[in-house]
Amino acid sequence: MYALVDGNNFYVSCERVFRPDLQHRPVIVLSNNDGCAIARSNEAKELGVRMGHPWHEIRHLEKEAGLVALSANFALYGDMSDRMASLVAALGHRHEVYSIDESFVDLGGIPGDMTERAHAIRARVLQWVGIPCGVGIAPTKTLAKLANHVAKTAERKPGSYPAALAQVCNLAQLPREELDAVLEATEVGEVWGVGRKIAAQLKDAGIETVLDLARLDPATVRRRWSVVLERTVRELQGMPCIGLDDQPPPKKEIACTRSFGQPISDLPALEQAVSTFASMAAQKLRRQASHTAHVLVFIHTSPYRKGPQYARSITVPLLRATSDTVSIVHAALAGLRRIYRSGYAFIKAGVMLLDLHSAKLRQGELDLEPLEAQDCARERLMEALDELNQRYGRGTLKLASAGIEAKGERASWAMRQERRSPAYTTSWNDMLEVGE
Amino acid sequence: MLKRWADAAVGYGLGTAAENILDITTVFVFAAPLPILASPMHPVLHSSCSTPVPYVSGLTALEIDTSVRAGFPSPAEDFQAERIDVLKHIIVHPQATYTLRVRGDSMRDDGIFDGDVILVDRAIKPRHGHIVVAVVDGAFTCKKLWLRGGKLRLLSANPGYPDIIPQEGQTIEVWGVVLASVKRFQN
Repeated sequence: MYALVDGNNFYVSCERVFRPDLQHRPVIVLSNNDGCAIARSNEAKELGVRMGHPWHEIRHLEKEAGLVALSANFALYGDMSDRMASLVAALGHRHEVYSIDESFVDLGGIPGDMTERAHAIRARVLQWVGIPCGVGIAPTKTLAKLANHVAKTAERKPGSYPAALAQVCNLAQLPREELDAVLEATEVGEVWGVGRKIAAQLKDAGIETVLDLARLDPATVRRRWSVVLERTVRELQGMPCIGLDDQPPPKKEIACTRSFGQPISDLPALEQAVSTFASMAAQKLRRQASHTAHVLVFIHTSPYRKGPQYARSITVPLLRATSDTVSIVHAALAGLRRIYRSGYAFIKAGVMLLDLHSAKLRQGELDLEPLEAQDCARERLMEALDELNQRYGRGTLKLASAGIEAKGERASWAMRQERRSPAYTTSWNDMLEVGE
Repeated sequence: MLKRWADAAVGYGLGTAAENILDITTVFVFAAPLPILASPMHPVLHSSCSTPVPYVSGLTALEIDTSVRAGFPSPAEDFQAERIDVLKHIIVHPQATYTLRVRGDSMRDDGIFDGDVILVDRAIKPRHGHIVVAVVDGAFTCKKLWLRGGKLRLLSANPGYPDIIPQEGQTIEVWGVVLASVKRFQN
């Protein structure tokens, strides 16, 4: 038996913990560079704000409907996610953090009434952390995800599902005909793992609801679609096919890409941006104890702006796989200089580390100069770099090529985040102030 | 750790980045000044702390010897224990505890001054007499909770400030219970 616990409108809920005046008001959180809506309060959903809705299209709602838009504050969301996930883990013995606001919990071996237990944990997360969440419980992960959708929708839109399923929905407790009614009331596109394309194909084949999909013959599904969809169908029928990932496998590639706050054309500014992205990617690489052998750099102009367009990427092979920031930045900058052309207004750049493998496996070399002593020193240097940045804050110690800004200044390529709330829980100077 | 860092920095400064693909000498810079925990007047040159005491002036870093000396084994070896961690003793519910900063002197007589940092626990059930952080009409305030006969008030601990008695249509919500206040005498 699995539970999926998911924070409601998570980013907005995090903001509301420190801004109670935002309760009952339409609130959205904007993506990096304040581009589009990535989280919406229920009130904002009522106003018709869609997920991914570009900000310039809904900006007028600020004045007309009192819509509050905030820049994404990932330092805050990360900490709140951590608090929530560690409380949610108490639901069962094993626990998988699936995303910043979702956790799967294996309920196997837990005695007693799961629905009651889930309500208790939900109340605790709401009281302790301040985040409302929905809980779905079912024999498989796919059904638990569906149950979670039911729990949240039943709460938000009374009448869509039986009211008893709001907040906590335990599909395992439902009699057969009630379960079928729930599956029939849900569109096939809501199923975990069924993307927009497959949903359209299914609808063409007359499979509209989750019940239709669950009643298909798995062998036929495999023949007509794929083994992946077959697994989904089996999971919907109550046969567990997807287990819990206690430890997510190390990533196969690591990327750090950003749109700039404003277009930039000159090479030095691009170099600073690319050096910063490469450093961040290298840090991520070390955190998962991997090495990279290929560094990809790309830059491109904005297809939404007038003017000449240019987009290019290049992969720079490394002589030896490494996780050393200096080497990776050198490779990225070499690549950048190769693909850079003047006269274009670039809006985005990125660095991807490819061909990753464990730092433990190292390809030896026949010849060459004994590099081991230097390697060890470098490794310790990187350890020290990571520790210093961990302890004194990101960017405390960095490569000079990443650029230095005077206090209070921002790099020309920095993200636009004009509406970001303070990092209440992670920065000493940003703490919430309590008045008289 | 500092020793390691200093070693590495020295080792690095002597070498060049000739490996892999490019040959560029790279300079490390401190983008933000590191806090100086030991002042230049009183440098901590020797320390047995497990946490390093950074001594930084400009871009040079002094080496601090944190290594264990050979010779007689320490008689304390078998009695190794962890140093007292103040926060660990105060914070009971880490997931539910938030740090907030107090502005104003309305809680002065209870020992909470302007600028103090308070630890607020949302897991504790608020009771009569608790110092709490409450939300009054959307604004945060720190007060003493008065709960009698089903009625609620928020009391100031300073005669210069009025108590808060709920008015018609006013929403008051207790956000969390104040566990402790951190008062700094020296910065």
